Amino acid sequence: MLKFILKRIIRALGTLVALVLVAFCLLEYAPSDPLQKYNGSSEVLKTAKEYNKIKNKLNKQLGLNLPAFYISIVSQVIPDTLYKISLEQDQIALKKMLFKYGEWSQISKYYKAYNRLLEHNRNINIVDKTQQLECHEIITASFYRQTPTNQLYRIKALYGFYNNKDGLNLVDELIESMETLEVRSNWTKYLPKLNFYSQNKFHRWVFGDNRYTKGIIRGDFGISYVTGEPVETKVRNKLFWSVLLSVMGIILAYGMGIATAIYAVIRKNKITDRVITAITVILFSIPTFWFAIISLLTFANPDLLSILPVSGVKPIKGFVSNSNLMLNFFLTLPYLVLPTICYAYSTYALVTQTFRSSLLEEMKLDYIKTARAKGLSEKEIILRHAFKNALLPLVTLFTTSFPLAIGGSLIIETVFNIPGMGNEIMNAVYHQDYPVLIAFFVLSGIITLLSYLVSDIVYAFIDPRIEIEELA
Amino acid sequence: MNIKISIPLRAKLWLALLACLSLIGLGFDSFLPNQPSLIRWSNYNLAIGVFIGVKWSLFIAILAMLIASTIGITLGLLSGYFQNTKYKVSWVGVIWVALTLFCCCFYGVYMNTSFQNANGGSILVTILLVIAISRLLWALVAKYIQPKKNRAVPIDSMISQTIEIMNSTPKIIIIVVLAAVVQQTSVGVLIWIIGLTSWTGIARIMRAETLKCKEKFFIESATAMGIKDSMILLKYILPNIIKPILVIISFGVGSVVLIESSLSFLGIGVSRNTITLGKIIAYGQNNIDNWELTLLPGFAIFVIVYGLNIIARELNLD
Repeated sequence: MLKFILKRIIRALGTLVALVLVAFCLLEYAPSDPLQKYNGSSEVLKTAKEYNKIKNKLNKQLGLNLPAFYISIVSQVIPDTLYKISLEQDQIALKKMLFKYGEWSQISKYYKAYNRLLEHNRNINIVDKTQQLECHEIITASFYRQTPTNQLYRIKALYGFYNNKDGLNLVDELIESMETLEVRSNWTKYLPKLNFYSQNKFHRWVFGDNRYTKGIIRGDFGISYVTGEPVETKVRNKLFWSVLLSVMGIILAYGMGIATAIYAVIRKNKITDRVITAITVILFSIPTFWFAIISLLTFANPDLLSILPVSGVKPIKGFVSNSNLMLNFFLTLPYLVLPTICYAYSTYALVTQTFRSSLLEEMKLDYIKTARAKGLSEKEIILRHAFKNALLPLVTLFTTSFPLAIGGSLIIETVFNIPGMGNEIMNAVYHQDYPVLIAFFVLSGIITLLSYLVSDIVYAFIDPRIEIEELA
Repeated sequence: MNIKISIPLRAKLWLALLACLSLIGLGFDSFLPNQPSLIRWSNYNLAIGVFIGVKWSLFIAILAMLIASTIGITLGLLSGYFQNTKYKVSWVGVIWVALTLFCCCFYGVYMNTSFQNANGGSILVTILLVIAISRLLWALVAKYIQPKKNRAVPIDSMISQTIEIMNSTPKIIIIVVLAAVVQQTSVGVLIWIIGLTSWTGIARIMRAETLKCKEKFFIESATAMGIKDSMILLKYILPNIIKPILVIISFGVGSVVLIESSLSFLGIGVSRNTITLGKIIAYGQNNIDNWELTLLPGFAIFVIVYGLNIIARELNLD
């Protein structure tokens, strides 16, 4: 048994590592450039000092100037230190230029000239800020979209108007370096190159860097892009309602489901049995969000029936101060009635169907015949003999109902406006808050993996045949 | 190959109904504006909207299921048939495959995406070219460099590990996160995302069915006759497990319809210029006076999914 558990834990750990890798890939490829938001997209351009301050802060907090992973395989023309450029957009543009012109030395000269001009443009002090912003846009367009140099003459005209000699020199320098770029054929760009980095974003994300993050291994998922608060406090606040809801839903679904299934088997081949089967198929086919809205329209509608509250989890005034836990629970209960039912009904249908068929299978076996021959009633046979043995498939089902519950909470929490995990995920999606999104992704993965692990071990305890199969 | 499947009458009727429902919506696309908020919701417009929604739901669900079932059936057949011991390759072959994969990634994906504007066509052409060259070279040199001794590839373990990784996060969360990361909203992207995430159940059931079918006598005799593995898989095993495949596909299409409608209800994934049932419901949720805006599209989803479930059950019972 110990060997089996150990083997199972090792496998779960492997899956966890893969999950973390996938999550990191998603975070890395998410189309958001935190620095981009500060890079001139606002109404007023930031001065170079402010911009550098933000850049350094973000570099420290998010590790923007680090390579992505321990190893990287890139083309030979890419220089070793390209990752040190914090702006992702710049890196992409530089890669395209590298591929076209073939050599880093001339491009780095151009890039330096470009950055000098950009910094100068940030620093000039003119009254009309829109002109400054326009210049900024022309310069960045010349780099990102490779617009022809005659666009830059418009900046020259503007700088000339303000008699800005330094700026004119810098523009000339940029134009010159752009025009001296020549296409040099370089076949080495088609060869791969292997790089190793000990300091990288992945390492930092997982294990932390002692100063700014602790790493996800110690429960630090970074900082929310939107609110700026640590993700873990956000998660901690939200987890309670989701867990409460799913536990209540699962208890309701399993209790009702098992009872209904036993009732259906006792009344086998009668009209009640067929009605129950039909109802389960119908319950399967109802979309959750529709069921939720319809139940709201029926039971929380002032025109129809107004017996339950519409949304939220507690009275608008809040709980009475210095009240005990039990009272709070009873105050919250009406808010949770509809969500719990919406949560439970599809799981209930699944449980009923599975348990009914497994009970029916069990009833065909020989020991049931013996029990019948002893003269036991059908009810006694089911409850005392078949029930325990038919529970096995439910253990497997239980594992799948946990992920289902987390997934289901997404919709129900949005409809009923419950401040739980699902609601927070939707908020993160709307605001493109990727750290929060990935944190929930990893967390739900860990919860699911744990539930799989526990149920597999429980299953092996109940049915030792599994263990032998697994080890063979 | 001679496969005959008898489809029960009730399943046929439901199939005909679903086909009619989606065909009606086919011509109506230009009748309504793209956003639910722009439409004047008369009864007539609501009916048209529901038919368009039904058409899109079934279109997305069937195409996504096509992708999912292709992946799932292939992997399930492979893992059930070869298991951990039957497929043998020499280490040179393994290295060769790894090199080919590396070249596919490097020249096909990396070179195309990071240096030029990515183009799906050019990526595909490069990958096919790399595979073709690798095959050709292998055919030429395999005789000289391949050692005699072969080792078994644990296909079954690899595939089941992949399935476990896929299952370790709730499907809807994977889909939501992927849709948020991809950020392009179009029907095609949605189809690919759903298709690539929902093959695990199919693969699992296919594996079990293949294992069951493999034990049968005629497979043993076919193996004894020296028929190739690929032929056994395609001509002996696949036709015999076609029925469970149909059952899973019709169950699967139903579940994809549910997923798609809840995604478009949440406002994720579906593009701006299509009207879907979920979108209409989301609009109706905020306009409680027009309660039929919630009731009717939801009922349409219910009818589709119920019909598909009934088809699956009838096929299963038969």
